[in-house]
Amino acid sequence: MHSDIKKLIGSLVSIMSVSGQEERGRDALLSLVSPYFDEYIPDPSGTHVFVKRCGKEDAPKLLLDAHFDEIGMLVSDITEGGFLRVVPVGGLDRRILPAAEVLIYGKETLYGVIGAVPPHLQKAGDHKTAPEIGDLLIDTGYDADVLHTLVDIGTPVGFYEKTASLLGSRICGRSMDNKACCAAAILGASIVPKEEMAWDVYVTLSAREEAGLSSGCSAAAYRICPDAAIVTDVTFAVAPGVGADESGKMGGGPVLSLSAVTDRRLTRRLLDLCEKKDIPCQTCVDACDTGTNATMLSLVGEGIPTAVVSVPITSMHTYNETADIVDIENTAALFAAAIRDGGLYQ
Amino acid sequence: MRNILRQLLKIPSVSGRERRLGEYIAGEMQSYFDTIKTDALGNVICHKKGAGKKLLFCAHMDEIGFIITFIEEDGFLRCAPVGGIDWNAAAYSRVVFENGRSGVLIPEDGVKPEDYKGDTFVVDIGAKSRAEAARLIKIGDCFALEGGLFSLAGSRICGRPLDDKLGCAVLMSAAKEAASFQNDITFVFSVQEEVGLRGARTAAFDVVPDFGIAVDVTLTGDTKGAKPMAVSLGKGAAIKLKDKSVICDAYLTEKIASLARERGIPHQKEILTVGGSDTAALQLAGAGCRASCVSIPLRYCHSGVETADMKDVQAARDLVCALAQADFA
Amino acid sequence: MKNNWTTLSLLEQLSCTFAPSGCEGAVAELIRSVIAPYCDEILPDPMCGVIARIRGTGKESGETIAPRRLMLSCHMDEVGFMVRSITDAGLLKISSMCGSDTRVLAGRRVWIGDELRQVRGVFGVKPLHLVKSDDRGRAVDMDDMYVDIGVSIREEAEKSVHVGDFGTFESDYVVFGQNGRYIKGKALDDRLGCAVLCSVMRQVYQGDARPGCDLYFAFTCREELGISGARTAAHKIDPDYAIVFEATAAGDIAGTKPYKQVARLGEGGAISLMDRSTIYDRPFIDWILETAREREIPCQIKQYVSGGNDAGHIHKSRAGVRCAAISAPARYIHTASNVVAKSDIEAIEELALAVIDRLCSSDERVK
Repeated sequence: MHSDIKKLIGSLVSIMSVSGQEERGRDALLSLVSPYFDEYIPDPSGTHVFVKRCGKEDAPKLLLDAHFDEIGMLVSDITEGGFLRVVPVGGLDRRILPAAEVLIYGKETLYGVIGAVPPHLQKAGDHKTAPEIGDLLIDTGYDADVLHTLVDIGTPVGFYEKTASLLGSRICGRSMDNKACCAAAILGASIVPKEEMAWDVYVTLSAREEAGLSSGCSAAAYRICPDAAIVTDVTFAVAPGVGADESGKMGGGPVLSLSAVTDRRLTRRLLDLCEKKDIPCQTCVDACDTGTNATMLSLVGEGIPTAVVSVPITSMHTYNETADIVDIENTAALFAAAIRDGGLYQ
Repeated sequence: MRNILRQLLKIPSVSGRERRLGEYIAGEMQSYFDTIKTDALGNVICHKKGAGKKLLFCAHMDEIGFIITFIEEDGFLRCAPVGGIDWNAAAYSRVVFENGRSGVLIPEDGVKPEDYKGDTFVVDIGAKSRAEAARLIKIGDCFALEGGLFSLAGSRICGRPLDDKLGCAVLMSAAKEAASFQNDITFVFSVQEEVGLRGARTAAFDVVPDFGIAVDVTLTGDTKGAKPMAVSLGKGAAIKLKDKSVICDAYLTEKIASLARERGIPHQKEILTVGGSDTAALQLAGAGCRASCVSIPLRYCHSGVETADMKDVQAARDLVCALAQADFA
Repeated sequence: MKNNWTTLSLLEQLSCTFAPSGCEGAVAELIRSVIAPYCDEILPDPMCGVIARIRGTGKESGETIAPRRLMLSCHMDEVGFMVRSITDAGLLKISSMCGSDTRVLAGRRVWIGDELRQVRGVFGVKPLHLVKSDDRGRAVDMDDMYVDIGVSIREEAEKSVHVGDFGTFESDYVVFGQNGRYIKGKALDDRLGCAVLCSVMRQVYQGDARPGCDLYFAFTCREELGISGARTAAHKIDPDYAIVFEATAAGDIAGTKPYKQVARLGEGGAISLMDRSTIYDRPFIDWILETAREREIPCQIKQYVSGGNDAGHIHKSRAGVRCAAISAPARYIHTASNVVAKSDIEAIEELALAVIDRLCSSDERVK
């Protein structure tokens, strides 16, 4: 099972999906995911909607949302000497950018390195401040005139790192946020035999979450009109500087959000399911805002009872986000249990 | 185009008080569309039926301004900003109320420019007492910096509020041509953009388009001391890729760029790192739609001397017409 | 629920009920039981709000058409807290859901729990004696505060309280001032709106004739978080007009410049022109002001741009809704001690009835 999930995550990560570019990898995504579902519905918002039906008439609809997009950059200028300037898309951590390796998704996919000022050119104290993103240049190794034919303003730029294994069941790489959760949602929906499903399940791999817009998820949900929704996203794992009351433990299972903006009955029911099915789980308090698609999603249409189930990761928004496969498996197991549970929401 | 613009600049339209401008625009658009309606918030929605894709073009009618909140004993008026007011740019200016009355917007004595904010300003309309002022102006009345238009060198124009009456003028001048094509065309002249993209949202919900295209102004990177930005005045209509409120739809944005290339319409790509646009509301309303924006580069935005290049305005108009007759996959 | 309640007796009961944002079940249940006899139906709401309908005659006469649907909205939730964690010593660490002013929390009694049961606690702070003299003038940081529920070890605390539990202020309902004109309590923002709308429902339903249009009464959730159940309620109702009944911060206290006083206690409901969430429909406001003037009901204009309320969501709902807000001026809003004037509550109720009466008569139309 471990290796299957690793493979799925690795494949999902390899599909570039910088916010706003989610449709580019549609073919690759379809060949990967379609076999597990009855139907694929393209959504104008860029959200990918996969449906698996239970076969009963007028079955209630459960929406499983995992945002598909990843943080990245857009080319904002092509300078002399073949360098690129960029603007961030999503909450990019500028402290980790110097010397980072990137891919530039122009007419061809180019490799590049974000420049760092060498020590002998720095002023005293420079090394103590993180550079402004607007001051960084990507070195492509191309002459400007050639570069102009390959890259345009608005060309997306993403991190280079592929998925890799650490010791035990841990993996690292770019975009665990949120491909780890996409994998959990896909897996959770795929492992339940149709006759055991209590719902029609709509898995939305949604667009534009990282830019703080939630527009992809909300638009798709408006069309689908689900009876309940579970948003799955990553959350902080306990680590140096990250306290136990603002995060979950790596390996401790899915983290269920206790928040005033989500539906507490649905969340309770999911916690009960974990207990009943022996799925390890943990909780985290997000009083006023979950920081996920759930906040907007719950307000779509006449309102959607929504819960948030998260996978803890360390080093969020770096190019080596680290997750534990066991957590992802347990998250998928929780989704499978929820899909079987007709009493989930009444 | 300049004449249309001049007419629009004559009618004040602070956010929430667009009714008069809406009535004027609705009258002008009458002959080009099948139906024209004004919705609950005041959006003017002009629709021409068509067999092709459903396209919504949207320019906002409202301008930034001020609302009267209190009348002092001595006849001075207190106000609050409506939209993103730069108080330093607004200080010591002549202002005009909805009812045509003039006043001057003045900071309290002794307040340093860096401390300027709404509470430190008063409006002097010449009234000597609360009673006199209350006869002339009601609490809730709105005003704006005096509008107007004049020419600079070449094809450059200057005045206010070009944000976004330029966009309205673009749509109005494109209306006849745009409405003659096979696509299903809706022009929305939206309200309350400056206070949070409110009108476009309800209009888009009502229209349910396949494609939503905002026509608005954008900032430039070619002024002295400007933040780096690859948009310049005079280099053509700007095709928006992203601003703070929205990431534009990749398919529609590329479609606009390819139309511009095919037809030789001057254009440039825009990434705006501050400010939002109705594009976001079009993208998000109801089940959403594919949304993008044709922008008109504008210097000194939200001041009394907003500056644009008529060549860019013309390019934006040509692009709107090109879109109106385009085939979409 | 007995039927012999008055607006103020109901307000007392509502005020003392535990219902922070996200945990409105207890107030929702109370309101449901109060209004059940006075409406045609209560609609299901996935957001846990209460939406009640009184059907109108729906008659249209001549060329003037009565509005189809009027939405009257108030919110049930109050500012509150959430238990973030429990320390080994059995103390509760808290997340605030009422903004950042910790000065109104220190030393306060609170209720901690859920819809079904709560325990009492006290917001503890380090004793002043032990605070460095430099820091004595400084507001206490939320991270340095805890709630003491009377136990000394985590296991004891966990018998009564769970991580994720909610909290509210504990505060008695007190009538005070000259001739008992003021009321002090918690959650008067916006339980007074709830009480007024319950009473309005009863009077409309018991009236001689059915109203001319459908009336929807929405008691919404989560307003204080800014993510409003009013948005989803408005989407469901799809109203032509909406009026939000609220409490607004009154600054009519000594030392405040007149233009910053916003609204004054005892001068009637405050009608908003603009706030951070909404520019209200001017003709609709003028029409309401005219109604108040004709029927000699006291009201005032809110003379400052501040705050926001459910109208921000309602007016942008669907294809747009014409919206107004009538608020009771409330001093010390978002603390345990809201202070409002009885006469304002009466005036707002009277104005609500007058507006319904006039808006629903079939020959009346707002420009």
